[in-house]
Amino acid sequence: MAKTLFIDTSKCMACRGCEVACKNWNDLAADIRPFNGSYQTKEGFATQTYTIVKMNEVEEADGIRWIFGKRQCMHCTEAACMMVCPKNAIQRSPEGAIYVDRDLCIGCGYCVQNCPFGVPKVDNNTHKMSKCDMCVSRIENGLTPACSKTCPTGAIQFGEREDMLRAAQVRLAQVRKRFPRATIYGNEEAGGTVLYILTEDPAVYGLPPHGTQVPWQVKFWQYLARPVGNVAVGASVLLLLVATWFNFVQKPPKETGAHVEGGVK
Amino acid sequence: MTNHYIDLKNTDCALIIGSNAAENHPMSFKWLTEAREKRGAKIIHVDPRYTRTSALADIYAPLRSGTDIAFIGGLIKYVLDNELYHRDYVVNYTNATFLVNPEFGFDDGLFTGYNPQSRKYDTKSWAYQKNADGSYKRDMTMQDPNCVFQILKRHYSRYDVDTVCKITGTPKDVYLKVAETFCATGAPDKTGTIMYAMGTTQHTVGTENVRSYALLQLLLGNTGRPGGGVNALRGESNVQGSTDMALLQHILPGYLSSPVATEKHATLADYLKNETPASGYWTNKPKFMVSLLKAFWGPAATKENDFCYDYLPKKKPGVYYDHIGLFEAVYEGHIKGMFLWGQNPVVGGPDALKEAKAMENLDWLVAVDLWETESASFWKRPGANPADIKTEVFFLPAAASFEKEGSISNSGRWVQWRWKALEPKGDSKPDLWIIHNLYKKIAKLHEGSTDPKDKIITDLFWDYGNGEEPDIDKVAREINGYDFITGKQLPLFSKLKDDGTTCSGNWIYCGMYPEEGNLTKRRNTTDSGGMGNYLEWAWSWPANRRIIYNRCSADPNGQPWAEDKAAIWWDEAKGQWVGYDVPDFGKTKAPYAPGGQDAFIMRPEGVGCIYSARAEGPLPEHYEPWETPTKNILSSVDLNPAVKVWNTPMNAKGNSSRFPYVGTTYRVSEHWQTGGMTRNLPWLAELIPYMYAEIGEDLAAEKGIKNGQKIIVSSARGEIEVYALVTKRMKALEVNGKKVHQVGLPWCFGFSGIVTGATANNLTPHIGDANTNIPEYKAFLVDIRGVE
Repeated sequence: MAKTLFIDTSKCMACRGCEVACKNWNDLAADIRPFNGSYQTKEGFATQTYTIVKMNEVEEADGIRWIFGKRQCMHCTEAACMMVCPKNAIQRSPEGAIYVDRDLCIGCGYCVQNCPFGVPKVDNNTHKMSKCDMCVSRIENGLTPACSKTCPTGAIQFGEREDMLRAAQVRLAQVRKRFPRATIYGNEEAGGTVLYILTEDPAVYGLPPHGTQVPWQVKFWQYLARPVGNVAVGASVLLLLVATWFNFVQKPPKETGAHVEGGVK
Repeated sequence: MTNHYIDLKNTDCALIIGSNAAENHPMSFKWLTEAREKRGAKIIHVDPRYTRTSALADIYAPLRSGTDIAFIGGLIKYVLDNELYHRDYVVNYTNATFLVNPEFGFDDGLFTGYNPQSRKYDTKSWAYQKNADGSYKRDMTMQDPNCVFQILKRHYSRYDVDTVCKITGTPKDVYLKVAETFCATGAPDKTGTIMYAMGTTQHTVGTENVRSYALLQLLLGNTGRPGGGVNALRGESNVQGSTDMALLQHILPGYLSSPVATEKHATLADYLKNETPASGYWTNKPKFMVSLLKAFWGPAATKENDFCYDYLPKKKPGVYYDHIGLFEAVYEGHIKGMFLWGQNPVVGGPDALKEAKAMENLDWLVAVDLWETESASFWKRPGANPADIKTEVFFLPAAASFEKEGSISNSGRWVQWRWKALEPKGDSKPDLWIIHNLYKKIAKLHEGSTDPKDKIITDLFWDYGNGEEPDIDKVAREINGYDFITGKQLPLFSKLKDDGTTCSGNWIYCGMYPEEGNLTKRRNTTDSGGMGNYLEWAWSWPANRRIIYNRCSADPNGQPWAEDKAAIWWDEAKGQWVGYDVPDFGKTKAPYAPGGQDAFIMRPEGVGCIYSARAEGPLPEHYEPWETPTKNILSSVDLNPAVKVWNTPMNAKGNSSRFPYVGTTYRVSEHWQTGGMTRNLPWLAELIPYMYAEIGEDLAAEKGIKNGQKIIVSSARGEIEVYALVTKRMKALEVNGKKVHQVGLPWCFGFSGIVTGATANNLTPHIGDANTNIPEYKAFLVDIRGVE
């Protein structure tokens, strides 16, 4: 069954325990950047940073607000990264976690360019993509993701997608009493993703607008161009084989070896 | 905490003041979040800075650091003026009805009996009136002009909202919102909690800050009840335990006073006579004290030799043995050796530059810590020349919490056993191993000595095994206590005796390890009544009570004030108190029996003290910090009249013409205390890697400072170079007609570790509270300037 994270930003206090738990479980290196004048020292995702808590100071009529929201991979049902990956290196686990098979990844960066949420990052040295995998190694063993496990206030819940959606809907009515602009995010975006209750506009958290979908070009690539391309590649190979065979049959080479590339022997 | 962490879920309103709970005690927000979600609880945050706690609060009220008593005093007046106090509670469970000596008075910031030369009070005129039979005179109508209630009314009549806001700088509309919201918990079916931490205590008026909270909670009828109480969020996971075990100089384990070298404490009989009150549970003090001496000196302690009472060190009267006092003595060269056990004064001490300088006078230093802290390496600190420093330094690597076994006592007084998860790395050893082997070496050196002064060591009862590894189970058994005759563990402190047949290393822990086993290892998650008390999870002192003073959770007739606020109640059929908690009361003492409404069993009066003598008076009064940007507008007395003023090189004083801004130090979620642990862990170091000063946009604009640039922050004690973190969250306050800016400084940086930075405590003053001498870290004067 598809599982998901449900992140209630109204309960997040930006303790950043999730950031540490994530690095701990995934054994990711620390990344000390120059002083940026903010408590949010990690400005975005990086090859060694899979989750961050966004912190925004907003001046409103009745005073200042400091708005927090945890970000990580959205594990989209329609995952652009999977669609564009030329090597099928990005895969979906039975639980719904989108993860990268680093052995297959060639670091082409198509996923980086096409993710609507800016999540995947490619390491310039290893030429491998890395990102949050919903702690697939934990969840396939019945554990919850490290970020969810460590969250003190219950702002990061994990469970069956349907249950999480129901919890979000119940919670939304409560949250709207304090935050009238609150919305559910992730129910429909990119075919359905990690669920959020956002107390503010998605842009405040660096998220694309409500209703964001995978661009048609990506779908075109996934559903039409790539299969056709694959067919085309197959056809070329076949033609080559046929030609070689004719060549072989008609004029057997004096020296083999040099003419058997492509595995035909 | 009078209550405990989980009990926060039962509150209707949390007033967080002097605490940044969301950042420094994140687990408290687990339960506050539940209270909000399930009960619609309100959260109020009162603090000089808008922090992550403020971000989660329903109301954020800014105040100028060091003005809590004015803030709370205004709430007390609001409660009294609007008759929002919980009347039945106040009449029956507090000393509001008690009559005070008619000579007691208060004028222009001073109570009667003040001696300006000694800076001390003669408290004779503050006493209660008594009847001929020794009982207390009370006026249950609370109309007598000498009753505490009327004194309280007169005292806080000066704390009107306008005056208060002039002192605190809180906008009036916000202040009134706080007053309306929190004071609504005076309704009998509601409770409110006050959560505080070092933002409350680290002031020259720290004790009275806490007292003001206690007073407000008594008026609102919030103490001793689920979702209520006065809740200190302790600064370290086991600081409650270390306080219980007498980490501080003024107490022995179990909150027995440290003896002083005066006639009052000359012999054990003198000590017990002068320290034991005539009524209340402390009348049992002789049993606790003798059992403690038996734990210290075992068989050597006999009735004939005063149970070795003479071996206890006696403090010299008038000498300060607290942190500030010790470092003044080190600076003067009176102290020659020092053990630093998980402590890092070169970063954490007040006027830290001078404390580091003072340490150069030491002949030897032993530092016990996980990493080589700034204090362990003070001799090679920037600006010091190691060749000039003669101190011999020993560094003992310590095991971390996961590498050793033992109990920790959390803020809620829950004593929880922890098991060792992995072996210590390298040569590092648990603290207990270090002290055990230190003892064995010292004992060996004194073996066979006939010198009487060595008997304190040769007679010591060190019954924790003879091997290199101490037997921690035996330590736990002795802390609980046992009977020397039967050899059996004692079930509770009520079984302790003053005849030398029992021992207990800490009477309040007696009950944690009865014959059936070590109860701190319990992990049963049954929660009778759903109130979150989990009586079979670990063990809590005293007597496994989860909410102390819980007799107050029931009305004078013994029934809960409200169903969802029930803790204990009187069961007439059973003839005893029953409920969801262990009664903090005589189990079979009926509400209608004599003393059946004396809800505060530890007090000689049997009631909670609205009026209670402290060094600076029986009621909290606002005084300005040692360094202040303004004058006290409530009286001509600026500084707490009872604080010890150190006229020494360690405590240079700044004035507001040179240092116009209020500086305040704080911790952040990402770092722990001085950073000795967290700045050495890459995953924590990366979160807050640089020292900064938090300043408001208006101050930055005034000084031409840009976010992210380097600035100098200076005080009369020193200056530090840090980054400027310019934020909308820091706003100038209107104080007494003057604009006052505040500057926030995290105190977790030093020169050692993966990430380093300037030390905020190089700026803080060397002065403390009148009762405890805790340093005034939280309010002092600074200036700032940009670095080109």
